Amino acid sequence: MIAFLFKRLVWGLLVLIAVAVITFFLSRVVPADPAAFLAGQNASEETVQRIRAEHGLDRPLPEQFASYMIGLAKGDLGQSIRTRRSVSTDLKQYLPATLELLTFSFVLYLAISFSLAVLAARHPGGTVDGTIRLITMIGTGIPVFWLGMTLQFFFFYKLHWLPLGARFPIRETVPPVVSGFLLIDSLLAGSLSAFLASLKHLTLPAATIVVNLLAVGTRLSRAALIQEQSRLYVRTARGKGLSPNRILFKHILRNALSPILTATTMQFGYMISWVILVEVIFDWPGIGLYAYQSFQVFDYSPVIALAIVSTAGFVIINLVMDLLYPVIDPRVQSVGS
Amino acid sequence: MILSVRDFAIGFQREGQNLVAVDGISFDVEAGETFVIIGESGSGKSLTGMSIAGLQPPTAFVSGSIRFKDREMLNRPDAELRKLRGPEIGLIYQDPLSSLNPVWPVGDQIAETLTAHGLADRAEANKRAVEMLERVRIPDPRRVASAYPHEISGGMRQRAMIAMALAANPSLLIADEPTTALDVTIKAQILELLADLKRELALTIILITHDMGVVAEVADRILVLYAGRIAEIGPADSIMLQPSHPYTAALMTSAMISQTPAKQELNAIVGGAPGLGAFPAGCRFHPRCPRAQDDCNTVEPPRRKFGAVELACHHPIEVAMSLQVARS
Ligand SMILES: Nc1ncnc2c1ncn2[C@@H]1O[C@H](COP(=O)(O)OP(=O)(O)OP(=O)(O)O)[C@@H](O)[C@H]1O
Ligand code: SF4
Ligand SMILES: [Mg+2]
Repeated sequence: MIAFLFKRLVWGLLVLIAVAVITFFLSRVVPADPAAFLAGQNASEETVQRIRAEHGLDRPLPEQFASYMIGLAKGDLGQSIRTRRSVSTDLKQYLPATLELLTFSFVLYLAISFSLAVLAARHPGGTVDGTIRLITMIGTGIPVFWLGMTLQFFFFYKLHWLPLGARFPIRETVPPVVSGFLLIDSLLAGSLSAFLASLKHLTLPAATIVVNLLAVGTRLSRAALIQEQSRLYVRTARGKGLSPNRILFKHILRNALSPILTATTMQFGYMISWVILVEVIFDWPGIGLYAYQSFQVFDYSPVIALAIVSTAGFVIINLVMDLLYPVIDPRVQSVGS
Repeated sequence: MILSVRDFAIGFQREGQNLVAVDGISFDVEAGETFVIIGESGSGKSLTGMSIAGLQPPTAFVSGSIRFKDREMLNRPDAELRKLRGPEIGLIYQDPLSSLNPVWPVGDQIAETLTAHGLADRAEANKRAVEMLERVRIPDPRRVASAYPHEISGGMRQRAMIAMALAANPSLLIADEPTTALDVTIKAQILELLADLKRELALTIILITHDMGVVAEVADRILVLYAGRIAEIGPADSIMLQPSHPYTAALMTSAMISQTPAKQELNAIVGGAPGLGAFPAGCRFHPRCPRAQDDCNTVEPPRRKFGAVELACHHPIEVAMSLQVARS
C-alpha cells in the first residue's frame, strides 16, 4: 500500500515537472515582450530594459529556465509582472474561489447525471431514456460561452433572478474567511443572506459547466447501470424475492460505482478546463480569470502556475479515486497492496 | 401434489413473428420428491424451471397454467410473486461466483433473504445466516459469513448459494444446473448435501441438468425435454433402465459410452438439436431418430401413458410395449 502510494506520488511529480517544462518553453516561444507591454507605448528603451532586467527577462533562455525550475523546487512560482506580487500570494487569494466553483459544480454534476442515469436505465430505449438523451445531447452541443451568455441574458437581463457575474454582491460584507468557501464561511458566520447570495452567484457558472458535461456523464453512468442489470447476481436477487428498487439501490448501484468512478475521474479533467473559460464569462475571481488576465499582458508566470496547479488537481483526484476503488470493490484490494 | 403444470407454453417475439420455445408441457410434482428435468442445451429446461418461480424473461409470452400449492403462478403480479420467492420457493443456479453479489459479504447476502421479507431483524438474520452456513456443512461458518464471494472456494460458494436459497425455509427448491461448473468431487458433495437437506427440511426439489451422472444420483422422477416438448416422463428407474422413447434411449446410451463423467453430456447424439424457430414438422426428433418412419415426418406423436411412464412417440422401444401389454 505504502509502495503503491509512493509510486503514484513519484509519477504525479514527474507529470508536474513535465507540464512545468512544456508550459515554460511554450510561453517563451510566443513572440511577445511582456516588458514592453507593461512599460506602455511611449516608454523609453531604458525603461523597457530596466523592467526586463528586473524580471530577469534579459538573461539567456537556459538561465531563465534553470532559475525558474530552482524556484519551483522551493515552491516559488515566480513573480507576476501585472500584479507585482508573487504568484503564490495571488494563488492564495484566487484559488478558493475556483475550488468552490469546481466542487459545487462537481457535486451538482454527480447528483444530476446519476439521477438521470437511474431514470434512463429503468427502461433502456424507452421514452424517458430517449428524452434524457436528447436533452443532455443538446446541452453538450451548445458552445460553453454561448450557453453562459444565454443564461446571463435570461436570468439576469430578462428575469432579474440571478446576478450577472462575480462571486459575491459588492455592497454586502463578505463573511470572515475560514475555509475560503463562501457557502461554508457564510454559514459559519451565521448569515443566511450571505449564504443565499453566494449560492445565487454560483448558480449560473455551475449550471454552465454541468449542462456541458451532462450528456457524457449521464451516458457513462447509464451504460454502467445497464451492464450491471444483466449480471447474474441480479437474477439471484430477483430469485430472493427482492423488489426492483431494492435490487437497484442495494445491489446494482453499489456494483456500478467503480465504472462510474472511472468515468467521473475523466470528466473531472474536462471540468477543470471548462472552469477557466466559465470564470472568464462570469467574471469569477478564481485562478482561471487570474491566468486569463495575466495572459492578455503576456505575464507568463501565472499562466504556468495555472497549468501546474490544475495538473496537480487532476493528479490528486486520480490518486484519491485509486484509493477509493478498494473501498468500493473488495476484489481490487490486492492491486494496491 | 405441490406443483401442477398444464399445457404450459412460452415464446418470444422475433422480427414480428411469434416463436414458441416450449409448449404442451404438463406434469405434476409431488411434495418431497426430487423431480429432474433433462434435455439438451436449448431444449427449454431453464425457461420451464424459471417460469415456475415467475422468473421467465420479461419479453416472453406465456400460456397454460402453473399451479404451485394451489396458487396460479402465471400472469400473477410480480409484487405477489416476490413474496413467494424466498419464503416458498428457493432458487440456485449454475455459476455460483457470478450469481453472488461480488461486493457484499456472503453472510449479508444470506441474511438479506430474511430481512427483505421482514422475517427477521438485522441481528437475528445475521445469526440465522451463520446457522444456515453451518447447516450446509461449511466448517468455519463465522469466517465465511464475513468473507466476500471471491475469497472462498467454488464448492463453498455453491453451499452459500444453497444457504441463501433455503434461509427463509421454502418448501420448493429449484436448482438450475447446480453442479455444472464444479469438479467431480465437489459435485458429489453438493449432490449429497442436497439429498441430506431434502430429508432434513422436507424439501421438494426440481433439478435441471444435462448431466446423466447427476440424474442417476438423485432423481425420483424424470422429465425428458426435446426441442421444447416433452419426450418422456416417468419414474427414474424406468426412464434410466428401460427407456421407451428413442431419444431417451440415445441419451442413456451416449451417457454410458462416454467414460469420463465430464463427457456424460447429452450432445453426444449424432446431429444437433434444432433451435428456436427451426423445429421440424411431425415428431421434432425425427431427423435424428433411428426408429423414424414415414408417419414421424408429418404426424406429431400424441402423449400416451404406458403404466407409470408417459411418452410421445409413434414407435416406442419394445420394452415399454411389452410393459403395456403386461399391464393391460
Ligand atoms: N430471453 C430470451 N429471448 C429469446 N429467446 C430465448 C430467451 N431465453 C431463452 N430463449 C430461447 O429459448 C430456448 C430455450 O432456452 P432455455 O434457456 O430454457 O434452454 P435450456 O434447456 O435451459 O438450455 P441450457 O442447457 O443451454 O441452459 C433457447 O432456444 C433459447 O435460445
Ligand atoms: S415419433 Fe418417430 S421420430 Fe419421433 S421419436 Fe418416435 S420413432 Fe422417433
Ligand atoms: Mg438452462
